[in-house]
Amino acid sequence: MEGEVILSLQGVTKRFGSMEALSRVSLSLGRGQTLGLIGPNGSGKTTLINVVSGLLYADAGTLSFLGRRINGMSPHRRSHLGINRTFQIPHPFHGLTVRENVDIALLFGRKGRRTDMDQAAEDILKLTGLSDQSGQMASSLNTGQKKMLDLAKALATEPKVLLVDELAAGLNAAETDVVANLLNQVKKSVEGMVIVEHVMNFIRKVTEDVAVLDAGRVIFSGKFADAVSDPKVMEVYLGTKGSP
Amino acid sequence: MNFRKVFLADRRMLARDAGIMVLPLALLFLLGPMLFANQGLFMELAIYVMLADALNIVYGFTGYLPFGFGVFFAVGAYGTAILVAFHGWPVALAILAGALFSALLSLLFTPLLRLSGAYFAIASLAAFEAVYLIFSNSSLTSVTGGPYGISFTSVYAPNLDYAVAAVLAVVSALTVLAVSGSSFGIALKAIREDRFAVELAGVNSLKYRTYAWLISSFLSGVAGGLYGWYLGFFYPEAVFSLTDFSVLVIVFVLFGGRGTVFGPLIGVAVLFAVYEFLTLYFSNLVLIIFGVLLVLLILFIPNGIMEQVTRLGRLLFRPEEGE
Repeated sequence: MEGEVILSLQGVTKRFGSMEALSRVSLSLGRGQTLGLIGPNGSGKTTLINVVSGLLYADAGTLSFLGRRINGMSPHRRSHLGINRTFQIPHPFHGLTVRENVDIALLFGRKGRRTDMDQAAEDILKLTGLSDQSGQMASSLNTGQKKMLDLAKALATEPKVLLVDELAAGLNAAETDVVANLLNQVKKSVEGMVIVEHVMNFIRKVTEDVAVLDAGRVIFSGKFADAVSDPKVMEVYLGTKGSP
Repeated sequence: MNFRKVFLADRRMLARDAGIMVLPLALLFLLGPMLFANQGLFMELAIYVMLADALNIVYGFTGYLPFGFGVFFAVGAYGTAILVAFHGWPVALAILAGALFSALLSLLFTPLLRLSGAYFAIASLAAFEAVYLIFSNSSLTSVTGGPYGISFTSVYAPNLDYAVAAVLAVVSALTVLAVSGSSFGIALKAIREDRFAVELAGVNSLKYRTYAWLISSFLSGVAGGLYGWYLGFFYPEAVFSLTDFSVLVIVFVLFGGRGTVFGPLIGVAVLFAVYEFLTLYFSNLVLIIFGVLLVLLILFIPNGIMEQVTRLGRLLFRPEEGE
């Protein structure tokens, strides 16, 4: 871990009916750390991001951010505190232009922080490669651009911790490299980042620290190089000898 | 005040749109009664402009459709009537107070905003019925006039009420324009687009929906007060009419284009004329025709004719950006 803990989950549980999507998950993110969150489909990665960003509330356990308990805090308050995210399936405001999408986050996400809106919007659109689409309706963007718009909106709120949910999914190798480079740039402007991803090459290009989730439980936490030789992780990804 | 932060739209564009909006409305309300010799028709038109604008703020901008929206109109009418008839208030002050009653009632109903979609629409309908039953209850005759209606013909002033309604209709349209171009308006539109993502952009969606709900109910209350003044005497059914002051207004807004500045005005202008024509010549069929129209609108032009007009404009004038 890089420095002091800025985001901490202690025994966090989330249930959907009788199914436990997260089961007593304990994780922490240090200042300056980028954590790769990996695991098979249905392991609870996105649920964890939803719980941290406030779209879902934990049924048990404690979430704290910069030493402050955030259980039950609404998403907009978490956004003001400095937690933001992107979505696996992008969530742009389709009926608004790309620039308006970013303007909303600049206006409402930077509570009490004075800023030159025009300059900030231009910088963010340039960083995310959307300058040329500024006046276009968000609905006219392709999926990759919509993902970038999600990222642009999140960055516009000046997050301290950024949660990135499968940004590289569906991209080809060249596009994946571009996104990895972009996230490496973004790292410099945030205090911590959690990246949910299936594409292992992508994770390796962005961070060495990973946590592996399986069936709602953390089964490994450490360096990527150790994860790939960990028997539990191997079993989850490759199955056991003799299994169908 | 930082104009750029309050109004995201360009100052000149706002002024241009205000001009485009005010001029035809002013001409319509000034010349209409002279050309058609029926001031009552234009009085109702002004009332519908206000109602459509009020509905547009809550339904068009935030995407929340209150089916029982007409309750705020009725309470505005009753508030005005009660204060004038039973307490001797001047009519202008009574209309303002009636609109405040409507806003207070909407504040009482804010828990409904925690619902969404069909649940919200149905809950607002239930609220409408509940308030109607209270106002029309015979045991409250001394307070509301009960089922026997309420009269305040002492302040009847057919030319003055029309002039006030025409001016306020223009003001309500300008209010929608101001909301649409403001940071508040863009937050409301973002709520309509995605109520989860908007929170992550830092918008307190419940707070902004409540503001929209309050503005909308206040405007409806003003419209109700003016309508009551225009009638001078009314039974509960005259103002608690779900068809006239909820369903019709929804159709007007849908037809023109919800969430747009000009759409609801066009919707009222076109469909109110059609409605009056049908009522005159096919009064038995008017509701059936409007019901079918509502279904067709939702199926074929869910975003209203303003979207079609905008699309056509893009194709004609900027073919390189056309689809």
